[in-house]
Amino acid sequence: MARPDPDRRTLLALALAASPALGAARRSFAQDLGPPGGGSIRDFDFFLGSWRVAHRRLRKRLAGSDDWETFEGSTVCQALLGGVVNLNESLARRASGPTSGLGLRAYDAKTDTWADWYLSAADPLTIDKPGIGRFRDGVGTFLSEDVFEGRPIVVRGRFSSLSPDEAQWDQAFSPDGGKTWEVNWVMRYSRTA
Amino acid sequence: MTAGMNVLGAAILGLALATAAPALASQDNVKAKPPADLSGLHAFDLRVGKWRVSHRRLKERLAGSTEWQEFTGEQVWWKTLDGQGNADDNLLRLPAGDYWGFTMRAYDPATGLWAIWWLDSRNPHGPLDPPVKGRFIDGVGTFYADDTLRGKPIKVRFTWSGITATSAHWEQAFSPDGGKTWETNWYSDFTKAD
Repeated sequence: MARPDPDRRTLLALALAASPALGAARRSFAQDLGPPGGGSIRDFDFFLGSWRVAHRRLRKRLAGSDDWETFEGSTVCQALLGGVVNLNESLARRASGPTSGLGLRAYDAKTDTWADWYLSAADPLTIDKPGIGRFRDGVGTFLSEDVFEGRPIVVRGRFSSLSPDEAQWDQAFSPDGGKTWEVNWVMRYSRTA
Repeated sequence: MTAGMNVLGAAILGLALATAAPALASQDNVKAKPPADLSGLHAFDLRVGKWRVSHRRLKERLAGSTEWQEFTGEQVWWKTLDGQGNADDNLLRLPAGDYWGFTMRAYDPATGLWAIWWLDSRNPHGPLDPPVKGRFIDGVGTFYADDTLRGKPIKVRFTWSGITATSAHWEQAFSPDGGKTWETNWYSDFTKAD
């Protein structure tokens, strides 16, 4: 079937951990995430509600491109399971057709981290490995390892509240174990309810 | 692991599939599309709403146990993914204490399969994958996954049946021998609460 949106968080869970370079990188990421202890099931409260979403998405990734696709979407976010889960249901209207997806986050109090999964209706039988992260200074940073066009990469997703009625999520890939990042997707949220 | 289910909106999906072909971004990996199989898309439609649940769960699994725990629960079920999926939020009043479960389901029109994932509030970062996958035949939905129990490979089977506007039945069974024999370890009966 068509996969209009295979990439928000692409594929292959495996492969990655093997690389010593990435292993070293992963340790530094843990530091990037900041120390545990400051988080709670309230971390995503800023994201609850209904939003209009302005997407800006790089058409070609890790290719030195500056050609961005822009499109609109909407999302509705709610807390579930007594707050342990934060779920947002989204719809995007791309030129290639509408795409819907579920962003699922779950808080683990033992590690003070959130896991962030994404289920795309365009790829409905699999869910990729989650990004793991926490908030520090108002920015929630989530990291996972992946493979992009045969190369190991690190994927970074960031959530931030810009004001009570504005929020942002962006995604970046790093081809060099976290030394350099290319942002390839920005979603700007404007509250509608 | 436990329950899960599904639902949804064929017309919208059909439209989406019909219009998805042109003008894809260069990186999008477009494969030739088989005809969409929407036969199972609405299998869970009647599950939308609020439900009271009667659970009966085997205390020990694949251990020859015949000791069952009975407890109640509450479930709220809604459609997601523009009709191509659904989700439910479960409160389980286990004797040892309440916990929650969250289920996501998505329908794949390429294969006619539903995938079902379960998240347990007591282990919120447990792996979601692999989902159980399957389909309905004559009103009975059967879903399978490979998993492990106490370090040994097992097969997991979910069964949905008797889905009406006011009731439904779910079972979970494990097989230690590749599917030759099954031990059912959980029954859930749902009664509409709204």
